[in-house]
Amino acid sequence: MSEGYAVRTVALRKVFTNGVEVEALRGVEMAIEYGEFVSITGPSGSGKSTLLNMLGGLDRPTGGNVFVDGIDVSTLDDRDLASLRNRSIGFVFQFHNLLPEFTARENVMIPQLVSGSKKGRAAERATDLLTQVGLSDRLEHRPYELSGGQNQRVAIARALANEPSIVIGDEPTGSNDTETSDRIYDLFRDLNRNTGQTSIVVTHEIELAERADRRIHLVDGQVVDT
Amino acid sequence: MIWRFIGTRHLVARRKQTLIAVLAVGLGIGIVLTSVALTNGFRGQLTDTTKETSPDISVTADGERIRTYQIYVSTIREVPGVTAVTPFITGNGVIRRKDADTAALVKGVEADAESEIFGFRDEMAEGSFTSIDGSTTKIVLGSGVAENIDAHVGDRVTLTTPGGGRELTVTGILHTGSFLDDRYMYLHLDTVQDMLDVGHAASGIDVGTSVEPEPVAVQIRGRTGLETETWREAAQSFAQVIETFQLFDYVFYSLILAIASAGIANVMLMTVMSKTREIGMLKSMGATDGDVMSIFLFEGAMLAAFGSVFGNVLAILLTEAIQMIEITPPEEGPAFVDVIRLNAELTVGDALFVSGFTVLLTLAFSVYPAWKAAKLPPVEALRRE
Repeated sequence: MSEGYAVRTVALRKVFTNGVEVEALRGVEMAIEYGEFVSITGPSGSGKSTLLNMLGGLDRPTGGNVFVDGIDVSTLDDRDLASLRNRSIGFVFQFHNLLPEFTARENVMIPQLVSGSKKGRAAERATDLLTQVGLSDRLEHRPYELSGGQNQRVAIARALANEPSIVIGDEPTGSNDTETSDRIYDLFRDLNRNTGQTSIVVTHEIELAERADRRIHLVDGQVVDT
Repeated sequence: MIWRFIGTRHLVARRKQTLIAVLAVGLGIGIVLTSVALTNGFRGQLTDTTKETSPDISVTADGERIRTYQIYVSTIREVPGVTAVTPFITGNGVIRRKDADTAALVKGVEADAESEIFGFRDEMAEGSFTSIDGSTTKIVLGSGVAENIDAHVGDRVTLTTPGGGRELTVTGILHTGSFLDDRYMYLHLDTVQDMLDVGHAASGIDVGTSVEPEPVAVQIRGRTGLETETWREAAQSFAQVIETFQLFDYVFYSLILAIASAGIANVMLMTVMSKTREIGMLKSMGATDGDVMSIFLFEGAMLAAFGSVFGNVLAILLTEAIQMIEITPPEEGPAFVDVIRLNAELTVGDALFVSGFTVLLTLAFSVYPAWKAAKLPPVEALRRE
């Protein structure tokens, strides 16, 4: 059963058929409890990002099931999947992927506006979140006016904007120097502790991965250690 | 509204592209509307000229002379709405003064009625139009005809027609500003009948009305069995030619607007390509296909709307400017008017139609890039550089 788990996969398979057939995930079985801080590690090409995309509803599995908040996402249509991403999941990518024409505050407002929040309310919450990540003095700055670490903190604030039950980070520290990576990872950790949100972070940095509650290790599209 | 929030920012951020797209659409609309206004103006001018140079109703007998016109004149006078009636006869003539001569049409009329029907009373450069009434020796010349032989009121002239010649005195110079000035010389009806040796016959009957001429014309046809043509019908035959040309114009206009709209589609396509990663990001945040499509359709609609506003302003300015242009016709040959003033008439209906058509065309052209953006799978979009 998937109830009681923030995320659970059952015999999850993903096959890419782009000329050559590649089985990126081969029957992944895993479960993550609410409030857990889990790191996913594995060598390059082990299927970490593919797994994350499945968990976040960004891609559909070839076989098996993905349960998020008890909902089998593989049965959802595009609209419901979009709604799930908006309400239940927050993404932080390796590259911050902020919208360049918008200020830090506006970037954090966007997921809220997608969900139908009023502009004023969204702006208020964005200000709160940016203050929490230490950017209260950078609200009106655009991405090109911020450092890599600051942009990544804006991306974290944006991921939290709709109070998702799960925050997913795909190498969120990957494009930063060690000190910045540490601070971003700590921020993830602190937010997880303070908000009780489930955090799933893919990282290739073993030291950082070991600071998680639990580490899931993938090799060749299979979980080998959890 | 997420689409408005993001779409507006895209447009503002890409100022140059936005401006060029708006200018392209605006120029297209401006040129088309100005062309339409010119055609409207030309048609209006043609209608006005026809109205000024034609009787309200012209009564004829299938190209034949009307022998018993007096009966018809009496009958027509009794038709409600008729204010003035004159039989007329026309023929060719050559007028000479001293060593100068010129050819023109001789029109024999009952001057009082003709003057009322055509409003000649206020258009006399010299003398009086009605001076010819009842006279066999007086003539009123169109100003162009008079100019050709340097004639003025009081001058003696010789008029030669196929039926014979006659010494006459100029008692009026008519200046309407139309082709009548160069073509006509007016005498009393009986005089011309006599000169042309046609007996009591008329080429036709000019009728003036105080009401819309069409129902009066129906009555006249019914009571006399003769043919009628109102000034509007006379103008209509010209208008039909214009309308035929207009069909070609509309095809041309549509092409101009299509090119301008395709320019917008191109801008949109470039935007979608450069924003692929952002689209993936928006989708990862829960934006639906509809949200993404709305963003780009909104952008297309805004470009078209601003383009329309610019195009309309441009058309108004061009129309005003065109109306200030005056062209003096060449001296040689007969001139229809003293000064050719390009008339342009921009109507709200035309502006709305052209603008609406462009907005719809642009939206249609924007659908593909917007749909392309909306259908991008989020994972694929995020992977793009």
